[in-house]
Amino acid sequence: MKRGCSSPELFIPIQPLTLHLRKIYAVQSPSGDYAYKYITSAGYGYIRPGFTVAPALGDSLLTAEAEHTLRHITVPLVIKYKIKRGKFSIMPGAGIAANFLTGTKVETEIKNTSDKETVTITKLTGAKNFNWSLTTDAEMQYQLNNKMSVNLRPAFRYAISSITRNDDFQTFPYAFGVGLGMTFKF
Amino acid sequence: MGSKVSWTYTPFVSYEWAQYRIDSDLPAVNSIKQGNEHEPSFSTGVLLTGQFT
Repeated sequence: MKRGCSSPELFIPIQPLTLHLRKIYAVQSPSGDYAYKYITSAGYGYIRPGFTVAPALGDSLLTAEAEHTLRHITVPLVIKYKIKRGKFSIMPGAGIAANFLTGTKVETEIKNTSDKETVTITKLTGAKNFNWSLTTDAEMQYQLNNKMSVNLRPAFRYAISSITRNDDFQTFPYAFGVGLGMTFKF
Repeated sequence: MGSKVSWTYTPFVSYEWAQYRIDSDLPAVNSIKQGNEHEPSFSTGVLLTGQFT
């Protein structure tokens, strides 16, 4: 039996990333003062260390390994086609997803010759709050009874608009995932 | 003959491998990708499905 179906969805992906140690340099920040510029794939962070006076243009610091996490709420609209064989169904689908950035966090340690300090950046200059991606999946479902099914859902998402809004670079995330869920009939 | 819509909802958890493509002419920006290591990502949510029969 074959049926068509559409599927608006809501989910919250969390994307952690480890950034290796690097040297960062002082530049003029958007607020006018001088701060160390930390470049990430999603935008720039500005670091003002507490262990030193305000830096001069071109001063440098070393940063340790950093962890960068992005949090999004994603609302996709997917068109699926259901193919059913007994209790098993497979539903290949494709669609578009709206991604809303809800949080970003970079945690690292900065150090000069005598001091070190842990810093957390929670705002990235140039990060977009919204972007679009294409999504495709192949949901496999096993019907337990008339009201419930279990399903396994391999999916792939690819951004078609950048998560950054500055002119220096554009970043297009993509992800392959495997989901596990329970489906309930209303 | 009209079609009928039946609705289901699916709470789920998902394990993901994320990467990104970066477009830039700046060497400083391109070098950040070489120093990146992607950790596994996790998602959770609810899928709402309307099925036309």
